[in-house]
Amino acid sequence: MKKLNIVLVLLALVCVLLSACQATPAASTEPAAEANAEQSAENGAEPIPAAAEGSNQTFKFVFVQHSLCTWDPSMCALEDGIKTAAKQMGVEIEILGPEKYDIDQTAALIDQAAAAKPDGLGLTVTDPAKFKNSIKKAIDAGIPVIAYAAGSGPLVDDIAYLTYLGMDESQAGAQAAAKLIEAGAKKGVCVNDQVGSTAAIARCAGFVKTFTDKNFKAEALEVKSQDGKEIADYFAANADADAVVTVGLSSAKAFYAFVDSAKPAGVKHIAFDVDSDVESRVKDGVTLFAIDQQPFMQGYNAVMYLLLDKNYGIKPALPITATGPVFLDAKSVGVAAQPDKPVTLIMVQHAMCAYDPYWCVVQKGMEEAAQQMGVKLTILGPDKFDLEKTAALIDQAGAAKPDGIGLVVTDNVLFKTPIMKVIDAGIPVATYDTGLGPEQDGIPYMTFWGSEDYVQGYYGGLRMVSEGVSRGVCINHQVGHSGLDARCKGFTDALTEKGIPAEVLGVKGEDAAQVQTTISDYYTANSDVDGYLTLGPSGSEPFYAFVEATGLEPGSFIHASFDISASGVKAIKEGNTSFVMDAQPYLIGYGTVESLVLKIRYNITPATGISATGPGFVDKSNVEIVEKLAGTYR
Amino acid sequence: MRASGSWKTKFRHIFSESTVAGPLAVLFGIFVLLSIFVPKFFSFRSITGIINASTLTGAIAIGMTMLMISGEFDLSVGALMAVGGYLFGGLAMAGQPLLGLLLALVVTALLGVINGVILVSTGIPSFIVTLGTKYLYRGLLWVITAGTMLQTVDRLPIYNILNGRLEFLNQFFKQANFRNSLIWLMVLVILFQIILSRTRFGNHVFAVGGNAGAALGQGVNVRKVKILCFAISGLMAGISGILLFSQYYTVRVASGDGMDLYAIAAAVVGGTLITGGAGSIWGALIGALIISMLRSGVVLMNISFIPADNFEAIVGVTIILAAIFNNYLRNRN
Repeated sequence: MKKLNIVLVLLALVCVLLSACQATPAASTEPAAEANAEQSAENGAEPIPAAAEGSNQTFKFVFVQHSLCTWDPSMCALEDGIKTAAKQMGVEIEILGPEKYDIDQTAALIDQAAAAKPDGLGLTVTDPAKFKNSIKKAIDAGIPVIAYAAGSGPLVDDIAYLTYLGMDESQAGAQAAAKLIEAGAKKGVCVNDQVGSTAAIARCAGFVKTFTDKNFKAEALEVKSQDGKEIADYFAANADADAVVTVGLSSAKAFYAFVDSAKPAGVKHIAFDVDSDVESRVKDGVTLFAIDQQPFMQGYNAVMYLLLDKNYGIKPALPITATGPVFLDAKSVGVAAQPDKPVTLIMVQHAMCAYDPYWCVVQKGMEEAAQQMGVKLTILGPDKFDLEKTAALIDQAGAAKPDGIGLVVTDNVLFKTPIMKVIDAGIPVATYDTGLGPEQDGIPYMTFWGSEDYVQGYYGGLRMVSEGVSRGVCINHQVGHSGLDARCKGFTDALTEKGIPAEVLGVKGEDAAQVQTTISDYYTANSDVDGYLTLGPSGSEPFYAFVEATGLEPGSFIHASFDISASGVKAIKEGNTSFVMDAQPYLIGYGTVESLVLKIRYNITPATGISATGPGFVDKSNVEIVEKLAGTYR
Repeated sequence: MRASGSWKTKFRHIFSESTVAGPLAVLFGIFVLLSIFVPKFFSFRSITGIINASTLTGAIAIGMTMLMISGEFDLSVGALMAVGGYLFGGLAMAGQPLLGLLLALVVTALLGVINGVILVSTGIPSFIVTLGTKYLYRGLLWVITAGTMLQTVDRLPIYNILNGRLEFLNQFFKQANFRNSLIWLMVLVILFQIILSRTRFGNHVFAVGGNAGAALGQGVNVRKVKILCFAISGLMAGISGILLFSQYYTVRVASGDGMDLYAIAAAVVGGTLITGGAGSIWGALIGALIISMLRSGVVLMNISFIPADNFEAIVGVTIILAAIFNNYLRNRN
């Protein structure tokens, strides 16, 4: 037995020597992308540097619209937003449009704009079918494209622009109908003067569907003039009609002309878009609500997102970035903008850049937004993770009576009282990074800037479907973690919706060798699986080891993961990973400051309770920028 | 009759004398059953996957087995694995891989010594001591690293030596993934089996675990034996962390969480007594292989009503059955 042991030891040593003599792969010269912690002396507050870092390059963006402010007043606020953002962010802009509503000429202008090779292109997707080829040419030329004011999002329009800034028109119509039904309406009509406009058609479709779903009657009415006669004829033939929604300012004019002449009793009205006429009618009670899609925000955010993409590879999280609908009533309509109002903001968070490098990126976003928008910003946080202290800091921030407060909702029970004190004092509150949204948190703040795990998993799944996955698996390295479970649920739901089989594979993330073997065994038993989603480095590292060991070639599978890491960046470049998703912490900070300032200066309210910053897709198109900026801007 | 009686006697003799015969029989039996009934189990990809999955746990199980034979437990091995990974990885990334290797081994061994010193000084059960140090070591690691994951894309030669692919072997077997960690693990198993079974220290380990009072009476330095066993346990955890980083180029503060219980399970399935005084290093390796093999088998079976994330239940049942079987064999003989 002793001799056998000696022989075995000698054999083992021989094997070790042989393995040491194997050709070793050339060491990569790429530096590891690690987050660097900033150490700064603080007593809970971090003053903002005089000038934030950022790109020094001046970009030029071109915007192509189906109408211009010069002849369509509904575009004036939008163009104002573009110009304001461009001035604050140091961007050159050009706004193009036809001399009158002309879809063909608009399409030609898109071609013209793309040919000039701008750094970014914003446009209204008024007719996706007609504009598709022109937009696609710009995208294929590497120009980031964003849509606003008209469109249905890249998925529905089937055009791969960044996002649509506007509102889900059908949903807005549906919400308008719901409000009218709540007010007692039983038969509705949607007045549409924009024949051929997909936005107008969608608004009416949502409106009619909601009425009919509730077993009430509704229909669309096309009008050509603003004198109100067509509407009068309709009401003469439909005396029981008691609810009207107008799709735009021109159709609102037509309705008001009808109201002024016929003085109908008991007709409830909601108007899409806002001008001074609509504002006064809301205040008079003729119109219940004005639906604002906040065109200033559309224009402002179009510039903002194009610049974030160019500078940092940060992309809008969702196909539709909602700017509305916001329902303005007599109290909230017509509040005058104060673009030059000095603004002071205080942010309260449960951790700081000084000891948690993640927050350095969030704070970077806040600082740059504050600098561009010319606001004074203070960031407060405890000197170590301490919820009681954080709650006390919220109180402290409220007592300072700033113009706005941003904060984290790490504990929605403990933080509720101090946050409500702030809200009751009339100070606008936005939350970021940690929170569930105003409804789930039970606290009526404006919006939560961050990412929802389910949403990330869902859109990640949809993207994998678009890349050709035929059977997918979500590798969950910590089953029972609600966030990770939600990511997998979103993923499997997305694939199942498209008729593609998907399931969850649970592994124990703390044992990388076991994870790799389980993935390998799963692949052996299910070799038709070609889509793999891992939820972070605990899953992706063993996955890469599995790919290397199995010899799978890039292109024979589609892999996506969460959270940027050095190996994830390498895998994207090598083609082993299609994309990585993250919550874009820079945008979390930037967006929180931006939404508070827009509220304070322009009375613009975030349209949704959750302003999603993720999934932020990192893929071949932006991996170079992301790699350079990991730990600072990403 | 005489011949078969002699065969039965020989068979009974083997099982009564050898601590690994039972676990080996179980391993062989499961292997045969899975090879016959589970599609694609009998392939080099699966088999080498099972072996690779056992190496990190197996390394820790070596130290855990020594400790359990001496009558103690160490629940801090998972945290020590992470400590070893960070020390080695961090210094390797800073251009000092050998220093990193040395420090990872020394520091984890020393932390093991601290476990032992607390135990012998206070008399508190090792379960409690190491439960506390588990959180202490991991907590300190969190503070020092700020929770940051350590990762590199550089492929240093030392990583390949420690846990690279064993290409000269893989080329002979289709889709095999033998790795150098197998070699290191075998060296450690043989080394510590020799120490356990052929040295005075090994005898003392058994004696202390069997009856510490009697061992003390016989002149065994019980405290020293226990402290040394804790040092070995820490060292093995550090080695496991080094192997982890060498293969995956990543380590997180949470790495190794739960490895303590897997190592205990491997030791028990491999025939080591929870009460101390009996066990073997070969048994621990076999125990790790059995658990890993079952896990692979369940995944490969692709049973629709047993989702892949529920196979831990199967493993749990097997651990209990294996322990009952080992106990039966021991009592019968």
